[in-house]
Amino acid sequence: MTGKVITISSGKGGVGKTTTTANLGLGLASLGKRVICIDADIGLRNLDVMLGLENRIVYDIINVIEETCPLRKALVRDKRFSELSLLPAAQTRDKSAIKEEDMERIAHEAAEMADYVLIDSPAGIEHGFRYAVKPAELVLIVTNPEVTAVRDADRVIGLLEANNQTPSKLIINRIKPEMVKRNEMLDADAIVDLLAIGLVGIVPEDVQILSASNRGQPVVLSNNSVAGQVFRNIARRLEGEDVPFLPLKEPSFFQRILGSLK
Amino acid sequence: MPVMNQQALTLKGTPDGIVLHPIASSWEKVLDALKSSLDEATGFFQGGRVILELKEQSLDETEFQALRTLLEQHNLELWAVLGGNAAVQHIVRIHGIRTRLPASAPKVTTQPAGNALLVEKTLRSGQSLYFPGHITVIGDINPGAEVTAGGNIIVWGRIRGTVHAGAMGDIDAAIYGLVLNPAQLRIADLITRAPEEKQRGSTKPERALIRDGIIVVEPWKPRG
Repeated sequence: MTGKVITISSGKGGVGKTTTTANLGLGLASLGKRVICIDADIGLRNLDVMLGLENRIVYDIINVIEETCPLRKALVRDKRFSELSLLPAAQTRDKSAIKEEDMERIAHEAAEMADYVLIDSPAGIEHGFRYAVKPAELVLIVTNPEVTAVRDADRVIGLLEANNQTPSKLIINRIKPEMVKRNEMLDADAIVDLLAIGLVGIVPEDVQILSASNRGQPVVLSNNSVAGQVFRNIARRLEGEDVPFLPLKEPSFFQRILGSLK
Repeated sequence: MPVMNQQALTLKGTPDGIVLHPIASSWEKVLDALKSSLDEATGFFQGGRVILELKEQSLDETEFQALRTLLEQHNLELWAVLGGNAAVQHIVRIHGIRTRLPASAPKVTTQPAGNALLVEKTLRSGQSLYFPGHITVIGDINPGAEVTAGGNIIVWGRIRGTVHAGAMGDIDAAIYGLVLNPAQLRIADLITRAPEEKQRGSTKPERALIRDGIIVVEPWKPRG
């Protein structure tokens, strides 16, 4: 049984691909699944920082491609879950160092050792995007409730349909229920209606996400964060469980005070 | 917006046909890029005619033939080759292909029966569809997508991108949609855009056509 290769992509930058990859990686590992995260953003290495694994890196993906190091040896094991490991990007090279076949070979080799291989795609629709989605069985499209992000997500879904026929699913990140209520933000229904692909999660805006990423302790590890709960639910949905969507509520006065005390 | 393929070439639908501008210096790269553009747009350009516009590029007999074969495989006709040096023009003439466009491109006023394209999918941002006859789309035209037809455009879905009917000058062409909410509407030489204020609220089927020299939008009702 080989594992499932899932690429996290978006088109637009800064919508939360790396945050999603880190949280889903940890979320799946906490369910006891063996997970390998691959940082495909060569030259803009981030995933290791978010996972808090930066200081453990010895080898990177380029070493594996150039066969100066076997994949198993290049993997950095997570300090919290032994089921999770990371194949870091190279910081001193650029995306031209990877060919689509290289990524395919590495992803398939990783899938032999894991239940899930999560590939964190670079932004854009150029070479970096193409090699990142090449080996994927499923692409998770991350978007924000912004017209430009949704437009780019639509473009990416179109490219996936035309070139690879790779199925895609949607994660809407950074929804602010109070802004949706005031009609100042696209709501999830309008986005799903336009993009017309299956929805696997709606992540509310949560200040804890940023502070958690900065500390290298993704929010999925925190029990009192709604966003963390959402990522745990997405992980379970990927496992095939039928998990109901959390109701999106604007924070009450009490919760806001509580939040400011944290 | 022209279809770009990693800057190896541009493809643009015009009233005269699909204009192909090679950019890459290697002809092999141009053909590769063209092939992937055509594959990506399966059926979208079908039945069209292609105008190759050369700058200083030189082309030999084999390269010319390779282009023709590729286009024919995609059901496209190489209709004209513009520019290029004397040697290229010579090869092109031997093959009986025009090297300049007719003074005024023939304006098509009626579409031959049966000349229509049916597309059963949603056109997403960045995708474009060009067809010299009528186009029917079962699906949506999303924002950022472009549809250009020589005849009418009928969409069983929502139009939110850019649509151009009667692109070869047919002022009798019309655009029909279940929801007509385009970024821009074009019929023949006329262009109109959505009002700036807010998106139009109508969710009833509508059609756009030219009346007294301007594009008007009206409810699309069954003929009775």
